[in-house]
Amino acid sequence: MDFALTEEQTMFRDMAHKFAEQEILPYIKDYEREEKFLRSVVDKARDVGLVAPFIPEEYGGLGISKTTLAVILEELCWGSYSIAHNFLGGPVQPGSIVLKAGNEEQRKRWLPPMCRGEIFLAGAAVEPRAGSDASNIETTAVKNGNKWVLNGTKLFITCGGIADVAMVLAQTDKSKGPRGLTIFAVERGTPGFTSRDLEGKLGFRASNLADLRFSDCEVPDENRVGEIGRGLRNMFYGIDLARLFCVMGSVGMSRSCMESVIAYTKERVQFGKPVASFQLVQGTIAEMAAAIDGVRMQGYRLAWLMDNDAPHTLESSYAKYQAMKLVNFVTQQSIHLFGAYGIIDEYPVQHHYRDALLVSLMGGTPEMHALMIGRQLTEIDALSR
Amino acid sequence: MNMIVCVKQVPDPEVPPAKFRIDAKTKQVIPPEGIPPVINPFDERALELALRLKNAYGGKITVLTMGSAKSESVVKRAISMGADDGVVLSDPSFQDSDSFGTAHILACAIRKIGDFDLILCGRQASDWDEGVVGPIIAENLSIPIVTLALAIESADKALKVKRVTTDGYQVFSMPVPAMVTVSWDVGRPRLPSGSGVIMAARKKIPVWSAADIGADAGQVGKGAARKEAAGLSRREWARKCEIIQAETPDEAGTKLAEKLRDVGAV
Repeated sequence: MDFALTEEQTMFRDMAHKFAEQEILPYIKDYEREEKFLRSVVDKARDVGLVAPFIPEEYGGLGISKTTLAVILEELCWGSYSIAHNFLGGPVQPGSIVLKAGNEEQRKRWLPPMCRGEIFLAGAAVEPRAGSDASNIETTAVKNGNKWVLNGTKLFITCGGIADVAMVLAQTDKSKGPRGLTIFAVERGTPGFTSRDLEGKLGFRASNLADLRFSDCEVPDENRVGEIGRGLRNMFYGIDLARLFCVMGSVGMSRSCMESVIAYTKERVQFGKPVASFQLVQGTIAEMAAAIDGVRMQGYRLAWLMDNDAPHTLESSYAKYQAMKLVNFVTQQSIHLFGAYGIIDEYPVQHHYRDALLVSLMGGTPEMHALMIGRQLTEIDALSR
Repeated sequence: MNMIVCVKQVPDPEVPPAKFRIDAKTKQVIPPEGIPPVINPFDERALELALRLKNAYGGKITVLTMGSAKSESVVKRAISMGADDGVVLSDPSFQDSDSFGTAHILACAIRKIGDFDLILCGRQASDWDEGVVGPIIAENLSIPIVTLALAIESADKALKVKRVTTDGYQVFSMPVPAMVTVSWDVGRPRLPSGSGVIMAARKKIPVWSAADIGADAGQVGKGAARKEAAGLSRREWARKCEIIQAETPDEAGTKLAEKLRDVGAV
């Protein structure tokens, strides 16, 4: 067992941290206020190879391990989860689907331009009546000759408004429930495919979230990603890595908040001494630090299991469940310790607090992960009908 | 254009001065524990200018640093930014060399490399702020030097170097091989790239000893130092608050401006 980062991981950590310092933090306040998608950061991330570093070299990535990706994710999300998600969210979720479920032609068609930052991919699963329960998906895909005709609506799709290609989970055989779902790649410009940006968001304000609509939208069979009926399983290829993103992103956000709290409470003087000298404050900081360290280790282990193609369903849920507790606790306590300063955007705690609320819901809510852990341990499925 | 960039490993200048300790006996500044040293930010700017020249004219960049085997991290950092190769110069006899000794060691290594058109150094190092190693290397190698360069153009085996002055610019032309020290104003150095990081992490950095480069034992180390630190102290800062008294905001503004001028703040 070796807990030390390799030289390469240390260099990637330092590079990603510097990127967050130089290219994210100076701009985050304005973009959060204006609710603007930060395209220039995506271009800069592409220039230094941070857009899709885990994608194999043959498809345009750097081929780094998931463990190294975990190290990078912590540093980028230390700057801003939503901005890191702008350029890494697409490769992590829909990119992983194409990589693992797509055929060679599809991998060569979409992955290299994605790694070059030329196109954005979006993963589209959530619907008005289907979130955690994918069996309720109502978007349909009906075969018509060599084409599929899609009809339906997808909600809250990350980068949906700017995506060049959306990986859409659609029902191809309702009688088979979750085993009757299939993924289709729908390219921007396809007649019948429209999107509407969501505005007035509480979190992810510097990111793009959109609703997608498919109205008699025809896609060729060559755009079907993976086998018919394997859509849900294929979608999990993306969700799996997205959970690692949530875990390490939560560690990064929490660490940023804790560092800000330590600096602030050492400067803020009340009753004749720095606030940091009060035992209750030190107790909270200690609780933050210990929890951050614990979730970081869980994230590293999850990434290691992924790198070694080892089963990790339970470990993924453990890590995601704990990460959500961590990030909500730390961001909320940070706002509290900053007092009134915590509610203005002069300090990073505010945008982390808002992003944390959404990160909790991504890749499965804490409640869903609790049920998944419970199912594995008791062998009783609480959601069985 | 083949370039050599000399870089130094320094205590992280972003660490607040109060965190450093001064060892009065050895006249050394002791950095706080757990803060890894970094590449001298001035040298990083020299590397940035070298990388721009490489982009414009092609060629190769070799990075030289003097120190311990641990100093290879600054060479690897330079390679992750786009340099091609690097060498660490390390030998027990190099310990406590002054600027003359350091310049002698670097000049010996540069002679060993041999094939170069341009040597670039930062204008100074952020630890001792002396800014003399570059010029002494030029003297040792008997090559022309321009200090405080902002930009360089190359044509017909000659360089046109734009130099920063306090109130403008000067442009010099000079033949190659040449030495240039680089101004801070050259701009923010680029970030390492992911592919650069992978290449740097896998690269084996050679370490050259005094014997490898033919350094003269009489010119290096503490015994050869032409000067030694006689004292070292921290500048003490004190906060003082003065309220400007005035009848009107205009008068207060004028008095404040005069006060700032008097204390040299504007």
